[in-house]
Amino acid sequence: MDAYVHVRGLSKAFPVRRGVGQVLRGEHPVVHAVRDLDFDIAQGETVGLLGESGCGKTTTGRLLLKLVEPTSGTARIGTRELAGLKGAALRDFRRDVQFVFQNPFDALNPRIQIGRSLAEPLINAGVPKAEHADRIRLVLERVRIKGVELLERFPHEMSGGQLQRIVLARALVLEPRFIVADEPVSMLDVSVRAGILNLMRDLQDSLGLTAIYISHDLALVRYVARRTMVMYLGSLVEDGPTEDVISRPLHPYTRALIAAVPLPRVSQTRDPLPLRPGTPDARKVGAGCAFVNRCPVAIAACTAERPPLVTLPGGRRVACHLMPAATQPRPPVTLSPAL
Amino acid sequence: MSLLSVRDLAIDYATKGGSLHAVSRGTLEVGAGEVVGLVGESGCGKTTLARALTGVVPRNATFEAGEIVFEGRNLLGRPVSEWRDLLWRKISFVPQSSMNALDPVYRVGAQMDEVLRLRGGMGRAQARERTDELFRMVGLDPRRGTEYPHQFSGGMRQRAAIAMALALQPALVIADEPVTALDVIVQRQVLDTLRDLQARLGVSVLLVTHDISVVAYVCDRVVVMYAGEVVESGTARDVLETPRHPYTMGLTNAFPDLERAGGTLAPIAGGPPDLRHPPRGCRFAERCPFALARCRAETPPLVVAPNGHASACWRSDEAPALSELAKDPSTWTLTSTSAA
Ligand SMILES: Nc1ncnc2c1ncn2[C@@H]1O[C@H](COP(=O)(O)OP(=O)(O)OP(=O)(O)O)[C@@H](O)[C@H]1O
Ligand SMILES: Nc1ncnc2c1ncn2[C@@H]1O[C@H](COP(=O)(O)OP(=O)(O)OP(=O)(O)O)[C@@H](O)[C@H]1O
Ligand code: SF4
Ligand SMILES: [Mg+2]
Ligand SMILES: [Mg+2]
Repeated sequence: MDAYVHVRGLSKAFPVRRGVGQVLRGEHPVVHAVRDLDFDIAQGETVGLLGESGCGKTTTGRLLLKLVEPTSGTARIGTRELAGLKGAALRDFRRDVQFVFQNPFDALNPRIQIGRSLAEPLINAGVPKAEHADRIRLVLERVRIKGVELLERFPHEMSGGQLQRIVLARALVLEPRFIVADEPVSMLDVSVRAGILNLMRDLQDSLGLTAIYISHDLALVRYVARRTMVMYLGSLVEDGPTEDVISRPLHPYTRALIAAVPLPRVSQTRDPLPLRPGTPDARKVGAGCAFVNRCPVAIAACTAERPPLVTLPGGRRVACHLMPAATQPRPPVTLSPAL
Repeated sequence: MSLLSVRDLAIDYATKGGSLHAVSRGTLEVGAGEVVGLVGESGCGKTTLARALTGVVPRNATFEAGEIVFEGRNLLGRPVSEWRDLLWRKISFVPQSSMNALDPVYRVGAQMDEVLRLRGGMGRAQARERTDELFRMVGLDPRRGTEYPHQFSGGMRQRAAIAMALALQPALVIADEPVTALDVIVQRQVLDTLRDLQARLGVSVLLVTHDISVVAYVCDRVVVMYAGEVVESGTARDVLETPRHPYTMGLTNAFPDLERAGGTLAPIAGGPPDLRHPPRGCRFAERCPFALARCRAETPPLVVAPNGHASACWRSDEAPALSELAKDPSTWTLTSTSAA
């Protein structure tokens, strides 16, 4: 089957400011925001993207929508190769794909009223003026905002959650084919959130929307995405059906992540996480596994060599030296009693 | 005595369509060394209330009533200069938009350094050491202090804002959704840091969040708002395990729980009232499955039980029975039946 999103070797490095020593030595330090991503997404599929803060999730999304250019690698969305896309073809692409920005406070022009922000994509896409009001009303209903009075407000006159829904509405108003939603409901309480999540499910079904759903909230990812990818410091470390990733995480980072999920109950165990202390650093590019300094089960090979992302029998993918493709995908070691 | 005691605070915004009563019964206490959660639906007035405690409010906002007593002094009505003086030193604020806490044109480390030296009176070396320590405290590599805010990811900015608020070890940290952009591991690290500061230094924290799990993990007490009013408050255990207000019952119910698989979420049907024309009586009545005729006519007062558990509902005495009903999702799909 032909994938709708096809990504190979996609990488992005940002240059960072050099220290005096580095200038003298002629070094050019970079942050490896995203390294060597390989994945496919089928048409109509929704994939959750999880990972540590700063691991490259937003950068991945921006690369896929051609909001930044990769340092190397290729990406294809639908029939379009992103490299070299320009002019009319790029404009068409921009109509079909949308990015829901992570921070709603930054996503909207502070000097423009909400109503105009919502009309803008319609104007750019050449939708007849007569249709604007109806389409805006419809999309606001979908994101559960009521009151056209809000359209006259400026962004700073709205609450965080209200803004977040406006940003989502703006992305959906053109009925895109592919969206990257970056923490789209992080500021919403459960009652509003449930409605939006149900909306996302509907769109998947009715419009065949393909989506990447970036979130740190596992319960949420499970609600909208059957498949989940996990990143750590720029690399994909795990990929598989969401239920399996949650109930039987394989990569040591994913295990720590699952163990850290807080529960909505007052009495809960606060076991220490299966992690060694340490700060992840996207500047250091060691030869080994990016997780090695925090991994509780690292072996010698982990420092020496980067583990490739291997496909296990059954189709799950994981990048860890302790997870040889040849054996059954059973966790070879117990990390902590909590798991 | 409480460190902070807010009573019947009312705050309006002037809008084109008239006054919007964003907060109309802001009543809460934060004891010394306490972590208090402030929860409620999007748009219910959490940010308005929290930000008001710093004295810095949007231009179209006015204080209509109430008092804000901090360390025994009512701050409302005092000159703003006096209030501002407390900021950073005694009260610090982490805004909901972390970008607002950071100046985009200065390097992150330099901003931290400025707070420490200018406001904290530290020397160069001491400030430098403390900056590194604060960075590590929130899981950031100190070497990245040389970068600008736009070079940070969303969660990194949020953590820098938190570090900044903790810089001078204030008596009260007010944090508006401080962990929304953080993965659960970093989130736990930040919450543990707050807990630790509370335990070691007696720092008090008012934590605005919509996340019940965060409340359950870190808060001693919790305050629940609905449509501008505080409708319930008490210890985290009392409020989450034996809620007395139907809104709280609905809230704790609709939360996805990783340990309990499957199922669809049961949201509370309907939406909040228009705060320019709040309804008579209980503001939750329109969505409340347990509303009676009285609920639509008279405003239920915030009544404090002997154990300190406060709630504003005419049917609070029946809470245990209502709570059982609330656990059934179908309770929330029916529109209120007993509107007699
Ligand atoms: N414009 C930029 N210039 C320099 N570095 C950048 C830039 N954008 C991102 N980075 C760096 O790239 C890395 C990945 O950032 P990204 O925003 O993709 O992370 P993220 O996974 O979305 O994190 P979060 O969950 O905190 O939003 C980070 O170390 C970040 O500081
Ligand atoms: N400057 C302003 N002018 C007019 N109305 C405002 C202003 N700021 C906020 N509001 C309105 O006041 C109400 C309360 O907003 P507030 O930001 O306090 O909500 P919140 O509880 O923090 O919500 P969220 O969880 O979505 O951040 C909302 O209806 C909002 O639209
Ligand atoms: S006062 Fe009445 S309407 Fe309001 S929450 Fe209680 S039962 Fe429901
Ligand atoms: Mg991001
Ligand atoms: Mg808010």
